[in-house]
Amino acid sequence: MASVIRGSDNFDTTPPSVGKVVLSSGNISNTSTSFVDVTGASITITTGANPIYIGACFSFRNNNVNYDTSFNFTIDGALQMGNLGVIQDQGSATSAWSLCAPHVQSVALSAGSHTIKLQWKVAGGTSLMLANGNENVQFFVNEIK
Amino acid sequence: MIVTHEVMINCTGITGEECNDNCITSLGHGTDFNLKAELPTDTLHGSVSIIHNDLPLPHVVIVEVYEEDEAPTNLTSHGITTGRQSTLARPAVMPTEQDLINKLETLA
Repeated sequence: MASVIRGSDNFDTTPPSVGKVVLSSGNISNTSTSFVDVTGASITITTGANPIYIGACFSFRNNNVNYDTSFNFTIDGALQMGNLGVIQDQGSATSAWSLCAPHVQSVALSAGSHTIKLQWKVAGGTSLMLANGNENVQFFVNEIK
Repeated sequence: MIVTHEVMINCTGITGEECNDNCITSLGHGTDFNLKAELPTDTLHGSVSIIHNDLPLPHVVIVEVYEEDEAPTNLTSHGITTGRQSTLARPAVMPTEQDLINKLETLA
């Protein structure tokens, strides 16, 4: 006969919080050499005292060969991937697109509301991120519990 | 100062980068009001970010103008210090929000 082990009466039965943004209304360009928000890429969720998983996936390019484009996530304004973030330099042709799919697991957050953003900057020139109906930006946050 | 303005722009037939260049040109981009770095060590007075919506939706243009000077820091790429970052500086003549909006409207 199978035995049933009863769990703690305090077991957290609430589902994990999730958030997702899809940017598809129009491609996004940027000339900022300091981190600025990717317009529209902001998610606010309410979590328990748990870590979160943050991910994004998109294509981009810079119109200057060898110039860097950097990406980072913020949680409540704090950068999550170091001061520089993840960096991709433009290859041999300015027509070439790069795929970028950064993802991060945070430390345990305080219980409550948190705002997560995707940010980017350029070393120079103009970077263009594809955010249209055919090639969109995926940005999501999942509470881990 | 950050100005967000919606303006009807038809950028069919040009790239997003070219459309961005048209915007910064309309805003008076130059050495006295530099909105795009040609070199990573340039002095910049602001930046432009645009959502290039197709008509009939307007483009969403976000113009940031630096209100305080910020010294550059070393630029490290893939663990190698390659130089210094751009200098962020308040322009000698600070534009008003309405100045910037009026200039963007010339693109409509």
